Amino acid sequence: MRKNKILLTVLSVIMIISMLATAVGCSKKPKTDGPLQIIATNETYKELFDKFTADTGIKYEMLSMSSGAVLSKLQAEGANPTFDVWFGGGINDFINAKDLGYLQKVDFKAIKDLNPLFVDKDHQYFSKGMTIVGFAVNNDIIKEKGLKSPATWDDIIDPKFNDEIVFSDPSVSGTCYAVLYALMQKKGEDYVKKFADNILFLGSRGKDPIEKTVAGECAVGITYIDGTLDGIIGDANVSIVYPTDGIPWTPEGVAAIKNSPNAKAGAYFVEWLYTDDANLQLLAKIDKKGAVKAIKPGLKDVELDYDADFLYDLDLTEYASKATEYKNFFAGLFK
Amino acid sequence: MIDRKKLLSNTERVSQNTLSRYIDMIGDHALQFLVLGGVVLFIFYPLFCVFLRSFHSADGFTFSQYAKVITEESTALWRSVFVGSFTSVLCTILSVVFSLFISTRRGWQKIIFTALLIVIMVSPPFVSSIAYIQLYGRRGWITYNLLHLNIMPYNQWGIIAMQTISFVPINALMLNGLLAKIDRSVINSARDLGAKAKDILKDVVLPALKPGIIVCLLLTFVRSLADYGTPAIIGGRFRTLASQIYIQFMGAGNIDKAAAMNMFLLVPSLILFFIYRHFMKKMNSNSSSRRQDAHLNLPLHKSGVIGWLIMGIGLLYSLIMTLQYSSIFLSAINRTGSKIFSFTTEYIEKVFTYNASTLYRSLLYAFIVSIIGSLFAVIFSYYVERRKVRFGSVFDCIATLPYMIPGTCFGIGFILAFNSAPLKITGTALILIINMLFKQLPTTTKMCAASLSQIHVAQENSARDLGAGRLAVIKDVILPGMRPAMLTCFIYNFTSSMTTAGAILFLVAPKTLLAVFKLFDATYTGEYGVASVIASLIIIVVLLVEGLVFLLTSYLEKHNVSGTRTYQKELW
Repeated sequence: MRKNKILLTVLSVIMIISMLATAVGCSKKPKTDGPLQIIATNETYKELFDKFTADTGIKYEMLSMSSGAVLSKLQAEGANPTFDVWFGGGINDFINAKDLGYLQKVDFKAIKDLNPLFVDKDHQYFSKGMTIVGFAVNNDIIKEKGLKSPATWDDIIDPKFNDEIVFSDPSVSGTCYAVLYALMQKKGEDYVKKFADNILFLGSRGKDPIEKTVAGECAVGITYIDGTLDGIIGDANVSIVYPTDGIPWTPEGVAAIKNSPNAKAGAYFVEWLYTDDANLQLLAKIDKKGAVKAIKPGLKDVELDYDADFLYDLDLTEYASKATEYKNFFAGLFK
Repeated sequence: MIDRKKLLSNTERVSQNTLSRYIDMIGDHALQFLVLGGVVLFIFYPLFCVFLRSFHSADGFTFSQYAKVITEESTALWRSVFVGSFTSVLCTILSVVFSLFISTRRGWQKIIFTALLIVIMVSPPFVSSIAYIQLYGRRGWITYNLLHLNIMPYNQWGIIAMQTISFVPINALMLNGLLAKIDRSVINSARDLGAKAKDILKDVVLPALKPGIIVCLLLTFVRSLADYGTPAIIGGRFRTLASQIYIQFMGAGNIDKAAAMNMFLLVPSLILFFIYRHFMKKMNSNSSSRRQDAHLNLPLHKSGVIGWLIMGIGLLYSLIMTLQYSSIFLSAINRTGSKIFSFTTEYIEKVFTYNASTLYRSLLYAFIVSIIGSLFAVIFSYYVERRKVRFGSVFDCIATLPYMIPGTCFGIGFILAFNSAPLKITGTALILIINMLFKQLPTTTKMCAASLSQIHVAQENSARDLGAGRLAVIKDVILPGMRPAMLTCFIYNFTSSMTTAGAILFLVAPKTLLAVFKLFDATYTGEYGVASVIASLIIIVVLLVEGLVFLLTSYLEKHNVSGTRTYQKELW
């Protein structure tokens, strides 16, 4: 009798665990041919991918690369892509990749828990977070030039800031396209012209603005904001300002590549990422920002670290369709 | 009476001889096919794929990319020509001055300045441009803190200045070679006849340098056209065609347009190539191969104003370079952004936890590329320059193509060419090694061609007359005679493999990560401290390896281990 009770308990525990497992909803682990090949925006995500290996037994190898370069690589590789997962980078490059037919459709249960704003309607790309944009202000330069530290977008088109702004080329940096899109939508062409007049240096890399501000080459850099800036700022007298008249932003993409060597494992990675909340919590810790909460609103122990009311509205379809027009307009201001 | 036995053995020997001659001929053809075919397969074919790609669009064949380039990028093209012209003139002047300065040093001065020249040959990409901003930017240590100037380095003049100073070492090295060949007895007799030092400079030394000067002008111009790193980092609003190509590849992901833009870069470069070939022949033909004192006996301080000017500029350039490299080394151990020096090992630790294995791998690949690459270059130039194979100048032109286009394009070409069966090698170590080898071939073949003219044809012919086969001539006459050139090739190959990023950016896979890729990545993501650590490590390691190789070869020369030298003596 006692023996039976123990057996029953063991059985029910097993049943509950297996039910939980199905409830958590990961499909069956796919077979792999060699390690999963991941291209990410930087190496700090190693910890997250290590957890993937620990959870699933699937080994991985990673490389860091900017998203524009990934798009070039995909086009050159054509029918035989050499990597399986594309992790991080401006969403517009993901939209382009989808239009060129390089992304794989991934369906899984947890999609229903994600904010639809951040998920492609054909389930080909997803978001791992958002990049929000503000000012990096070099206080030494502000003081030396007798300027007032800017608080709004309107402040920085003041002629006093002539040759004191560093921005990156929107056709290179997804972050800077987000700024251009928001400014064209909300402030209009005249504003953007004045903004362009004040630009000292139009970078060809996304990190140029923060770097140049830290080096004291300009008073204000238009930069993405997250915890990793601390490492770049070091000991420089630079502070981060969230503009009070609106914060431009862009989702950061995640996608599994179509026809890749481990295409099934790539899709499985995407499913794994969103299915267990612990993964997203770890991601928030690595990124040092809570934006992932906006993507999966039910996520516990992660809080948004910005005031969502300040965010500019963003319509992804228009965001992609306006890209060429806006970029050409902007490029015309620099001829 | 005929000795049957003897006759039999004679015929046997004859048939054996025909057989070995046959084998020799096949071997010779095979070797020739290998080097010429290699150049076609690994340079011409990938670039042809890029060429085809420039007509590609979603709807099939099109000229629209070219129309786009002409309407959208013509400013960038003219800017490239503008920058290239200025850079090539300024850089050539500086190179001549600096090589005169170094050649006339003696004793400890010679050692110090030659060492400096070797250090600045090892210049990891991107980091130099950032060091330039740190030193001479709007808040630069020199311009702002020391001289209290507020100058803008982000324009064409910044690019020209940066390219000028960074292209000097390789030019100076070539000019030094020419200066070493000037017959010292001519200088001495001129002096005996009462010529002043400044007249010797004007009438003997500079005329001897003339073909070298023209070669410098051409090479620098082409190199400036293809340089994307400098304008991308310090050009700001000022974009050249090469930096626009870089943006299309790395940022906009528009490879069709980038492919078309590359074709525009090739046209002027190809024209210059044939002019270059003409002068290069001249330069090699009027050289003397006599061993003589490497020191140029021309006291600069007695050469009037020009002499003092050369000394002043030489010292100033050395100072600028010393500052630049010190700033890289310091940034590796100084917290980024601190106003006064604040020591940290943070960046060093980060490099060793994440990237130690990439450094070993880089060393291994660089070593393989250097050994195979030097051999390949010697054999290639032997067939093209000495054996005068048919269409030799066409093959030579193909071998020079990688010099004329930005590395990113050469890398994309490799993916386009080698990502499908039967030649699918993407993602492997092999593709990286082959790519590096052929990317460096333009320079190494030129080095070998110059050195080949020092080996007399007679030497080769007499070996043939004594019964040596064609392959034996390559093995026992050409290779030993080319040993100094192979050493130079080895050093060039090794340095470039460790420091050239453009072509491999698209070819590395996770398991073939290289240190220079990490360097590029660290610069790209703004981690200047980490970038400086990797750059410093690369510089130190390259210098160590090259020092060792140099010591080893000079030890072998001295102790005559291989015995080739005695063989050569016997031959004469």
